Amino acid sequence: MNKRKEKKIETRKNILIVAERIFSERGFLAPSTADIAKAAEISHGSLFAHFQKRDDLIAAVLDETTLKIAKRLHELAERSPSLEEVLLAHLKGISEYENIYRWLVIEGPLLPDYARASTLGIQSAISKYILDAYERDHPEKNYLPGSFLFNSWLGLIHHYLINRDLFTTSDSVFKDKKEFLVNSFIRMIF
Amino acid sequence: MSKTCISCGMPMEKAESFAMGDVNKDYCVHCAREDGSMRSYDEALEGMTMFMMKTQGFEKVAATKAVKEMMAKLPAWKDRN
Repeated sequence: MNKRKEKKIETRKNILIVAERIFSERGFLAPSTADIAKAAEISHGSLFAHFQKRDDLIAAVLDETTLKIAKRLHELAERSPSLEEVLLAHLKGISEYENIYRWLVIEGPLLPDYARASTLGIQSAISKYILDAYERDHPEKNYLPGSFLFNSWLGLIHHYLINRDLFTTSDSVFKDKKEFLVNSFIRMIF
Repeated sequence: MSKTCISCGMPMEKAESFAMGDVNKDYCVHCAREDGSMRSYDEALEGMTMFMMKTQGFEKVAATKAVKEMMAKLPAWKDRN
């Protein structure tokens, strides 16, 4: 591969790393492409050569990030047989990407459709593990509809996440509160 | 060894996740037909949409749209049209 092509790939990689960091701090909608070019220490024209529209940059960052999160959730949930362990795995996995995931939750409905689809990829990754564990732990047939259980769990954790400054002084509400959330939720549904 | 199903994106670790239990296949057990071949785009779209509706409670149009977007990024379907 010639040097010019190598440099182009390197620059693109660097832009994505910087963009992910900026989006984690400020969300997807507030930063401009100029902000990102500045933080990446390249000219705006150089950024434009790789990403013609801001949406393209957001899409590229989301593709990579959501893939990483989904993969990590699979990894953790796969070795978690009980519902309690799967839910803990869910919170552990998200806590490793808590800032950017939080922005996804807050701004998701405001982003273009393709962004929505990436986020749903994360939820799809974990929902099966949660529902399978729930069915295993709750063999009698009058249990809650799976999607309701899953959406209740999501609603709960997203509420704590969006408003985390109300619930914790630490950097991560999930690191701080995961046992509490999981134990209370399980007590509530069983 | 860590592969991802080219049809639905599911990670495949153990042999039982692979189609026909064959670790040389690049698609998973859920995306395989009874004869072992990989299911078509329409079959995969239908299957994944139903799954999403069941696990996440979405209505059909939204679920179909989300699955289409997801599938457009997967190796098996990327170069369609």
